[in-house]
Amino acid sequence: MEQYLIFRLADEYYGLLVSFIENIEKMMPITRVPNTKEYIKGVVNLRGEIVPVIDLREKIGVRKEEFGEETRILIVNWKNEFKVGLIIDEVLDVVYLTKEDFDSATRDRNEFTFSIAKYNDMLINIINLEDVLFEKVEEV
Amino acid sequence: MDMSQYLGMFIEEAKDHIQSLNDNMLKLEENPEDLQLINEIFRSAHTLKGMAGTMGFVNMQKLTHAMENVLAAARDGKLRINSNIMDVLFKTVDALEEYLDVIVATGTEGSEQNLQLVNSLNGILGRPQEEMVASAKKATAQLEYDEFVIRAIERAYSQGFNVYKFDVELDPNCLLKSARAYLVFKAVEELGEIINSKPPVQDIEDEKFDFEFSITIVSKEPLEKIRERILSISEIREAKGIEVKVGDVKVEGTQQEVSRTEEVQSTEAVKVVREQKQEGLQRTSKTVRVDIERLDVLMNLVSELIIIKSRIEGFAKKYNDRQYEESIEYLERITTSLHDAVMKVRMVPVERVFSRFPRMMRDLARELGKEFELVMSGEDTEVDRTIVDELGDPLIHLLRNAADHGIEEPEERVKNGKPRSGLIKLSAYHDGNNVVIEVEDDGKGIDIEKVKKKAIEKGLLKEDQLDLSEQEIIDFLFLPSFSTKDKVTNLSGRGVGLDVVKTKIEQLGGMIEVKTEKGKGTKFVIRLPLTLAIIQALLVTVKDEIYAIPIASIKEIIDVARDDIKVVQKGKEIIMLRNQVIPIKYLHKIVGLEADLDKKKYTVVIVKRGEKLTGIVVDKLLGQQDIVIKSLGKYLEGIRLVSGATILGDGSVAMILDPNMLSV
Repeated sequence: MEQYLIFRLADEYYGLLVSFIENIEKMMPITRVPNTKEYIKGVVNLRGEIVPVIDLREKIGVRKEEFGEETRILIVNWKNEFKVGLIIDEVLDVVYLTKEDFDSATRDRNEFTFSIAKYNDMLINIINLEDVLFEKVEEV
Repeated sequence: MDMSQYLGMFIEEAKDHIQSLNDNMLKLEENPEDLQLINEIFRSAHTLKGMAGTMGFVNMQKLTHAMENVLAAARDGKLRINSNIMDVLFKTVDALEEYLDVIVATGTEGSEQNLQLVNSLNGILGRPQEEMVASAKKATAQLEYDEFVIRAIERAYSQGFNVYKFDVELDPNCLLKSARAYLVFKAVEELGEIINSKPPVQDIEDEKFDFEFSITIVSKEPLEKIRERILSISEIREAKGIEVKVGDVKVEGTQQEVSRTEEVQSTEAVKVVREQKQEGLQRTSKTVRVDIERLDVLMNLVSELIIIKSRIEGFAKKYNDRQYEESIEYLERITTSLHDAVMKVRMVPVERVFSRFPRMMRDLARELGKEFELVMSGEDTEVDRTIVDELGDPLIHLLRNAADHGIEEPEERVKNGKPRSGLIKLSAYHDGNNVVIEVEDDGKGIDIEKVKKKAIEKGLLKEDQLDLSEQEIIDFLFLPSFSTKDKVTNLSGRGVGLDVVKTKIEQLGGMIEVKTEKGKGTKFVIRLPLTLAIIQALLVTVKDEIYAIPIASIKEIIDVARDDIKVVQKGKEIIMLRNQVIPIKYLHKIVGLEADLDKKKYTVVIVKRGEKLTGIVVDKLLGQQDIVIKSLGKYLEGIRLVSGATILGDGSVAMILDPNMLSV
């Protein structure tokens, strides 16, 4: 049984292991970094620390142009090597998911999620952070 | 006792000693008779032995002990230094360095005993002989005192005290001999007064004794009680005590001339040691070893201070209050001094890196069968610690390069009218806000034609592109996997090329140039910023984005009328500035924005990269400012064009442009 943060991207629900998440920040000014991938929106000043920010909607492909009142940046910590901010549309809940909650039929991994979990009628795409953060070999 | 807290200190100091061993042994190789050098080397080895022993590194201690014996023999004139002995000594230092590497990596010295080396060291001396000498000395030394002690003994008897002499033997496994001896002294002093010790106290403190020493004490207590007290200390194997009667003692040296001279010698040695100790004491009271991480924390705090200072400066403009402005100016002065002070603390001389090269080059000359001399200058030039730490590898590569590719075989040199022995110069000096390091050789120079041929071979250059300047051809050398070497030697084929050197230097915010003349030699010039953390930068804007350009790489700023920009060679834009052609680039395009080209006049920042100038068109200049360089982090690692980011006074982030990339 592990804890997941459930959030919304456009009209889909996604989940990310809470242990990766260091902070949830409100939207803040982002400075563009030239010569980077389009989904890398730039960097923010996180209390003196420079942190790159990825638009998760663009990266995953659920594009939605505007940032709203509920838009948040999830600051994730990748193995203490670096921090990255993930822009998401709305934080919904923090829940415990057990093995039984995962749909075994959907275990074949597509690009960014490795499984789908059911929670109270909600279908949650569980995100594989590694796939999100690193370009896959075939893309290079 | 847990010694791990001292490990860092041990490593630092051991490094210093190994370095000085290497240095002095190189000098000794030139002047094998120089007693002062032998003394220096002996002292380093001796200290190292003591340190290793204290830390419980037994193997290292044994090896240094064997080395020390050889050096002691050389010092006392019993042994003449020859090249064989030098080789063994050098090998010993290498082995010590290996111990240290293992210690750095694992915290323990590992299991390597280097028995062979210890044996060769002992072999030089014919070790058993030495032991015999030692025991002979012991026998004659019994019950001999100088007149002062004899008078003390006489006085003790007249006052009803007893005088005893104890021969104390330490357990051979005892690690901290001097500490043990100290405990014995302390214990005995509770019961009486020590009037004499052999060897002298100073030598015992310096661990200049094997496992035995003797003390003479004046006491009212019975002999057995004192003996028990001594034996109650752990790691004491035996304490033989006898009562000393006035009639038993005789004045030293009355019997043998030899022992007297010996005594004189040993006091002299003590004096030298003492002098050195005082020196050391003075130095330690003036300097402190600080963990680099603590300095980094300090540096970060200063950075934050500078950021907040700029922010407050921003407010000050709004209020326009005189007192407010004055306090801000004061704050400004203090932050600047604080920054300078912290910077200075972080500065270390490049000697830290340079010092290992003479030894390396000596080995290299042997390996290559070439003759050359390494001349170094400017070792005291100071650079930020972070840069010094990174300099080693590029310099090793360039020096190897000079020795391997540059310097010719001795016969060839003679044939070409050059001195038989080549010259490799390594020099460092300050140049404004930069430090310049040059590696120069008087060898055959880079064969431009050969480089050209190779470039064509590799498809980097077309046959008809013959208008390239020499410099541009030489730049090919810095491309990955470009080697002009025909035969693969021990040295090449390490997978490290000049491209790696260049990348490293550029990572450090510096640049590298080559100057070469056929038949005369090659010179690599490395230019580095003094520090990586805080720099002066010019803030410019394009559209609504702010960028910082390091001042050090800006030559000048000019306004250029649109009509003065000429187009040459298929759309390349240039301007003429004082008869020099300068290519023009638009920062808008470089950073991926639309350029607003409808202006009559452009603001052009001329950046320099070595001798190459490039004009960068920007929208507006915001002014000059101290900026704190922050890394973009590992996730954005390797973005060309941007060398980092900085936080501006209002908390927003601006990219710092990499001047090396602007002119590409």
